[in-house]
Amino acid sequence: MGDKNVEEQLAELVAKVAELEAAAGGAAVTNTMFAETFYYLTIPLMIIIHAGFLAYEMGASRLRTCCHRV
Amino acid sequence: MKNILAFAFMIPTFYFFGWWVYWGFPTGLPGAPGPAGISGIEYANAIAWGWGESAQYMGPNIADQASGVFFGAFALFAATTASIMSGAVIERIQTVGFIILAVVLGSFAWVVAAAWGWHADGWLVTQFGVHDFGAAGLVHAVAGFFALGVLINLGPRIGKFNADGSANHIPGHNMPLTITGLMLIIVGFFGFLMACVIVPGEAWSWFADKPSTIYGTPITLSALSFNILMAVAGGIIGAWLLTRDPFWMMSGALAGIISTASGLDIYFPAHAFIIAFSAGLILKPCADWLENRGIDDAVGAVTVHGTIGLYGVVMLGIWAGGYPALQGAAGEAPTISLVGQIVGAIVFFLCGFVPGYIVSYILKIFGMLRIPHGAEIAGMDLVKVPAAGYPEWGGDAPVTPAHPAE
Repeated sequence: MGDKNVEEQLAELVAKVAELEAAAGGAAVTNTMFAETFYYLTIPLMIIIHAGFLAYEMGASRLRTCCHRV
Repeated sequence: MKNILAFAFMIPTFYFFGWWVYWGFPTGLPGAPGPAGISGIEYANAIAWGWGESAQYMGPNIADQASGVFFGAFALFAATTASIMSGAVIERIQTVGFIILAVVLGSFAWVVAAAWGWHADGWLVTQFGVHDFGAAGLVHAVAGFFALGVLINLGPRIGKFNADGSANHIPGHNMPLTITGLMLIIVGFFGFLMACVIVPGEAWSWFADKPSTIYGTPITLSALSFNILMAVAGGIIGAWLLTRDPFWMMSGALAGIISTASGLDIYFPAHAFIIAFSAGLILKPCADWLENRGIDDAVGAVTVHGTIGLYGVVMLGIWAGGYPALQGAAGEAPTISLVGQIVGAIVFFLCGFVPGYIVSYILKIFGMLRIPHGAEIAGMDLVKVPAAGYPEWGGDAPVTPAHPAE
């Protein structure tokens, strides 16, 4: 940077800051999307709990009542 | 039918008022705001109604990528409570009565327990240092003891008990289906416990750069993975030693997770294994004890979820006393204690048992709780369901004496 004058150096710094800000913004978006996806995926996983209880109860019922458990 | 309907009624009732209860009452009545500034009726009014100003948080909104998924996870917790009760009351409860009970449990009873024992402003947390990371008390025990309250008014299945009070074993029609179902619950448990973690990146995150429990205390998914797997194994082995019965072994797996759920963020894996092992060991004796008191809990839900849930809440008080219960300013954070966990266990018991008993009692008065004698003898499929499970088969397995009476 020895040959550059102060204004050039400042311009470079400004550009660098803008680049970093954009990256940080991108990281925040990624973070938000990760959080949203994380909880979204827990929902179908927890529906499997329901499927499990369903199967469990149907199996534990006698033939004449197994459909009512569904 | 019953289980599908429970799910279908749970989602809208949780949307219309259950979510509001969670945010409105952490500090108890009359719904004053708590220190964290995210509770109280005013706050709940601002974020949890599906109409007016707060509807921006309760519907599609490109500026809000948190409320919907957070609500969804909680609604599924609610549906889980109804499923837990469902198994205990099979073969004799009326459909509409059951749905009313499911709504009271899923959109009110456990939500109150969660507001008190989970929310950062919950009075059990701030005043007693109650810590229940994976909801052993506030989901499982509440649902289990709600079911007990219902069972007392509902009564046993015809033929469950003999004239001398001894119990019979009423075999289900499909053991492989039962075992597979229990294993599916284990799969779903990973989703349930994962949803108990607060990850960075959303409006309610405790931290911008690391995950935490709902109390803001440290946790990683790796910790969960270690401890859940060890708990499943411990529970199965404990139940196997005593029963040799695949039904109880898989129930032991559930009991293993539930007994350690309060402290999955704190335990060391070997420790989780031992606690789960002990839960697997006491499971069947606890269920037999209840049965000898004349309670016909067809799938052991009161024991697996209720008794073992509270066992887990208290265990954490014994083994993790002094750990921070909540993220707070240095010197101010409440810590876990045996007394606090016992207080929590008592409150969770009451949150489940009292509404379960009262509402089922009222339903009984109105004749909405139990199906008529003839319908129970004929089987509810014939009476209530316009479809046949196995149209080519018929006949139940013989009913045989269960364990010896006390």
